[in-house]
Amino acid sequence: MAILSDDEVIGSVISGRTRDFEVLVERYKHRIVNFINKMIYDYDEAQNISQDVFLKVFETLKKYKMQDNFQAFIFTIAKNLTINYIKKQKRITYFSSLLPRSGDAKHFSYEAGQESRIMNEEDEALLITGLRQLNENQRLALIMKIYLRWSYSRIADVTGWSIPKLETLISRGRTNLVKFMQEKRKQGV
Amino acid sequence: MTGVSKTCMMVRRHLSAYLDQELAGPKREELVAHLNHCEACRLVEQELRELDLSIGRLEDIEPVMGFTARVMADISESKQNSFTSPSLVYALVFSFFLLVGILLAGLLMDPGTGPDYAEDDLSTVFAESRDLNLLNIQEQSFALLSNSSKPGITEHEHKK
Repeated sequence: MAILSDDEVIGSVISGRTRDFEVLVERYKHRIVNFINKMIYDYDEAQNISQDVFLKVFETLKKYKMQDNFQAFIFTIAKNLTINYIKKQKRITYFSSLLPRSGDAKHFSYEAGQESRIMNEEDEALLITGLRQLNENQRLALIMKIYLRWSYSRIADVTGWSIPKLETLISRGRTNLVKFMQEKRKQGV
Repeated sequence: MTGVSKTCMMVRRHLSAYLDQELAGPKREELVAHLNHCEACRLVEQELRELDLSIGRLEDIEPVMGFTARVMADISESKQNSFTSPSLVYALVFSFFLLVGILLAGLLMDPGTGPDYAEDDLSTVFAESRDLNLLNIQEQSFALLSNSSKPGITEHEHKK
């Protein structure tokens, strides 16, 4: 049986065969979950946001223009929902920092769990910490380039950034990350 | 950092694009030529390559068990909720008021086709029935009075 293209599956879904949407979920779920997880490093939230991504894709499928560019469409939604989540977390972190410290463990327990999961791999932990201290645009650009292995033009399509801006973001992201890891290694962390 | 020439700074600015194979033409040729004789820049290049390898080696996670089923259930729920979307609710409310309006207009335009009595008519009927009752009472009273004043009877009673 021939493998249907994304656009062919979408055509089928739009014509009323909702169950065919499963094909797209199966096709993209691994990449979407991992892309989001590498942005936020929170297993549970990565799963939740990924589900929201697919729901949002389904709801906005009629807005998708068949141009064999579904990957850009779904990753744009994934990127937007992830950035929204990061911004929301920043606000929560800021307001939590104003509260007494006793309440923090409950709100940020995932971070403690996250650390314990990866502490046996020191370098990996250091890298993840380094990625998390980058601003979200540098992190997004690096993950799209290095993890998804996208070209600059494809990243520019999804993010709306110009190529020179993207080049600067990736370059600074890499440089900042290398500096961070070198400093931490010197400190013996 | 000391001793970094302008050329080295320029090369390092484009090193990232070079690693990503996004640098072409004369810029790329200049960069490659510089790397061939600058050990410091080669070291930076090496660090960046190792960083990329490390990021590439970061462990992937698996979507949770039943991920697809959950998404499809969410979609099914979302479709059901769309039946009670705000626009549909507005349409239903509008239809209800339209129906009520039509009924009221029908009553006002043609009272004959409505119930037998409007509110005012009913009060009239009540008043009439009350008057009829009073009349009956009056008639009964007169009858009693007239009976008591009949001479035959009184005479007969007197005789007794």
